[in-house]
Amino acid sequence: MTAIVALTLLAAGTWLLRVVFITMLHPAALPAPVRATLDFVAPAALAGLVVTVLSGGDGVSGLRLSLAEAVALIAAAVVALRGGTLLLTIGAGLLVLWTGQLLAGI
Amino acid sequence: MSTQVLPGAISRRPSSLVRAGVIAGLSDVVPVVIGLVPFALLVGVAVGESPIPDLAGLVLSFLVGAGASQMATLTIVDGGGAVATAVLAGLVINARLVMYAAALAPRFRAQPAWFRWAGPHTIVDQTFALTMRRSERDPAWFRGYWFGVSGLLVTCWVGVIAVGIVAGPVLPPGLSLDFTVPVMFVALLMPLLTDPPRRVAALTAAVTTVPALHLPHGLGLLLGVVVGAAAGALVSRRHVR
Repeated sequence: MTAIVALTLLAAGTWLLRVVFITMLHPAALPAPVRATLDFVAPAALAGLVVTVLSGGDGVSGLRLSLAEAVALIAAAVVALRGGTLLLTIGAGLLVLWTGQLLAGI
Repeated sequence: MSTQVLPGAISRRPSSLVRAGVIAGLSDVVPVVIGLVPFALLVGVAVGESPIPDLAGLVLSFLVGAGASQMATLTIVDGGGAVATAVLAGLVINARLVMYAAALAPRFRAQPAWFRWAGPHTIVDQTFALTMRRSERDPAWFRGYWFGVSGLLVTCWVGVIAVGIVAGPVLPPGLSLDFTVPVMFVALLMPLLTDPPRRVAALTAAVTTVPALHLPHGLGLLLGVVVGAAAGALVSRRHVR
């Protein structure tokens, strides 16, 4: 029961976070310097998410990529930069990873 | 003067634009959904192992719509933590959604009221990143796009969580499918790095986030995003001058 209450409150609170600047407040209410940063939230958030996921939330000590994983990420980045679709990029990353793991296992 | 209906003029009707948006959204989100499968399975396993009845867990997964915060809240409650602490931890993890909402607000502005209240429920990393890659601004098109992206994403998210609840860890570990999550974020990130300020924002966020990850409740990521976005804005101002 406690978990249900906690998740219900979390759902309500998260919904409020999502609608506050869309339905309740106008982003123009934000100070100009804050508004200027909004264009850069997407690249900053995605870069932050990449390192967070790669480190498993453990910070610098958690950032230990195998060679196959590092090469796979670089391959995915190159494919994405060259205009590859998301599916192609993810496919290329996984293919390089599996190939690397296979070679490392030999 | 007679009114002539030109071939193709129908494509400018709102219903047609909504349909075009839905198709574009579905097409964009398919690879992202594939990348989300491993994480949704993990959330499903966590929900299955929690004391919550399976159906309630599934409904709450839909209502929260943010896996990391849900896992954090469940972990704290399962460990005997107070409800207030658990909810606060989840909300801190989700704080970045406020920034996403503020950045998306111009696209929601011309929408009907029901859409402005209900649509933001599906603001997550993936829907935000996919939308920011698109330059189309037509309100009807955006509504369709948001339907397409969110509809498939949420359906698959809840569906795979259900699989995780029922079947537990069903995937063989050797496939390394969890690696699709960082690859998916890299795939979404790279096309956004179109100018120096955005590159600075991404690099600064990454460099700030890593050492800050030891901060509790996902504050490290939030700090990284704030510092990165501020750095991007600063460089952008200097570029304009």
